[in-house]
Amino acid sequence: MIRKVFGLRLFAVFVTVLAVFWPGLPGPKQAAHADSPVKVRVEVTDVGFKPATVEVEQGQLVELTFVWAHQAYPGEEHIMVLEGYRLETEKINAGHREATIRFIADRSGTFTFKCDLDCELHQYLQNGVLKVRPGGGGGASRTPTVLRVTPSADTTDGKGVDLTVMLRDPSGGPVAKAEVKFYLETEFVGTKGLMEVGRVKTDDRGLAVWEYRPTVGQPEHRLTVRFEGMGIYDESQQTVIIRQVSTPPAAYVPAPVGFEKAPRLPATLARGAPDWAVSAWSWATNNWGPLTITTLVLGVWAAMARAVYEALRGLSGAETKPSHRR
Amino acid sequence: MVAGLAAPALIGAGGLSQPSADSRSRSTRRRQWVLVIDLRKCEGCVTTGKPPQCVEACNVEHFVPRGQEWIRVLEMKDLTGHTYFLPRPCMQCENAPCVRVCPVGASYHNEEGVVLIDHRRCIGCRLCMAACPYGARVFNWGQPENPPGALFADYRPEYPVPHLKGTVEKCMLCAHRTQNGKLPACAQACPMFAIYLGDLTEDVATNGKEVVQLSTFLAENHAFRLREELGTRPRVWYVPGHGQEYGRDVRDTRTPKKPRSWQELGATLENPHGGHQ
Repeated sequence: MIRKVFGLRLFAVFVTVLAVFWPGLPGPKQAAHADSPVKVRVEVTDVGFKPATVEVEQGQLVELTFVWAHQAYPGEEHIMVLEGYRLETEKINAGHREATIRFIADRSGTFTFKCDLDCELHQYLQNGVLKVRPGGGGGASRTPTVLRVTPSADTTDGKGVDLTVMLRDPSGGPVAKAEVKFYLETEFVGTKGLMEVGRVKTDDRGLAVWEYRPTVGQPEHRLTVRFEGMGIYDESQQTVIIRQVSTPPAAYVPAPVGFEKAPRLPATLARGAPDWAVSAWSWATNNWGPLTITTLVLGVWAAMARAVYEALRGLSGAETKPSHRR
Repeated sequence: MVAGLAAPALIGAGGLSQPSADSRSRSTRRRQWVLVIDLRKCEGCVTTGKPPQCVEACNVEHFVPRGQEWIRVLEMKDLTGHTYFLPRPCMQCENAPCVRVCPVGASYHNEEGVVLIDHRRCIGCRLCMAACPYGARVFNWGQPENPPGALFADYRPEYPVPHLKGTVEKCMLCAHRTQNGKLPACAQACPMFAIYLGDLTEDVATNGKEVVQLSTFLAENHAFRLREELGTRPRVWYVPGHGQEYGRDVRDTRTPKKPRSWQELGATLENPHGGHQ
């Protein structure tokens, strides 16, 4: 009995060792512990990514490293972006060959990674694929973040207010290259909602400054500043309120096209002119169409009347000529 | 007596009420209205099995004369021969040719940038129809049918009821509704929330479901205007698409059903929306 159990245990250990060290099994497919990341290295070569497809399981903590490995293009530079997870690497080139992004693959599906720069090999570097299989045994959790927003002023008279954003992890370390969005709580034509009014990315110190320029006229500008989570970091948000002390300037003023307003009475004539004259001028210039037509019609009628009058006068003159001779 | 009966009914139809305090109290600035039509969401109401709801809503809101469509859902083909739908209201051009050519000043811009027609001035010369590059205007050749009681209504260019013979008509961006802080009838009725009403002054737009920053929405979604090269500065933007947000295939050959008139929908002044849902 003891021998049988020992034999089974030995067999299980053998199978485990075989599974771990068997050369045919790629590393990224292995189940990872919550704290130990799945490390994947992708070479960026002259003909594309190697490997071009990376597979992980949902919930795993992943370290994806891009390695600059060009042979014929020593001047190439790349910034790799992982779409869907909104992540990007630092720039890699011949001097700085490696860049790593860490993230928790919390969403299943197929996502692309590609070069975001306009490089020589651009078309070859647009087809990297990250496959995140659903389920999986990964149980990595995101690191909480702390977002702090400091406005440069509590009120606005229509001019811009600088909002300084600081994003940190619980240990006080900066969260860099994180996209922070700004939403304004507003109502328009009966619809209430959060309107996205801006977005900004934090720098290496986890800091960002964004200028809020109000366009909506409302007494209170309640801004929700939100970091939606990225990589290994969890989401966080803060709300700031800026009071409006005067109406902000219009965001758009229609450019004149030439016919919006009637031409005004010249200043020299308007000075001292009675109100009725100014009003008459305004009316006349506003109604140039009917006035022109009326003038033309009256002119034609006057010309015809004149012609008829002349004709009648000529006729009557001819009749009266003999009487003059008398 | 009759006018007294007709007036409340028209107010109920959204026709003659004055701008509410609510719509103006927030900001003293003048609105500058625009429309944004998201073609990614417009599938001509084909999947709903109904006629285009924007057209029918317009028909009953304004008692649009039979045979006319103030907003038309055009079936278009792209360069590859695939189809998409394009709702075409009046473009409310800033540099409107129709306003320029009108010999009697019947076509004009109101303070909110909407092109209106004063039918009491219109002499029916139809120069504006010839000038409009979008074909947005229609002419009342005969006496249009008006709803009972409309003849006694207090006419306003913002809500031109009753309709008059020998005059030109068009979409006026539901000026009577927007002045009261409501969406135009077409935007209100769109089941896909494809039509946004925007304000250039405050740089904001809504489709009744979400509020977006107008300038960002236009820029990020590559919005365009029809025949922009003419310099008319239209105030209707389109976001390119073919109804894909609701799963419409570009090879879908189904066409929209014919919209029903307000008479067919049973709209009256007392019940302006009739059987229209």
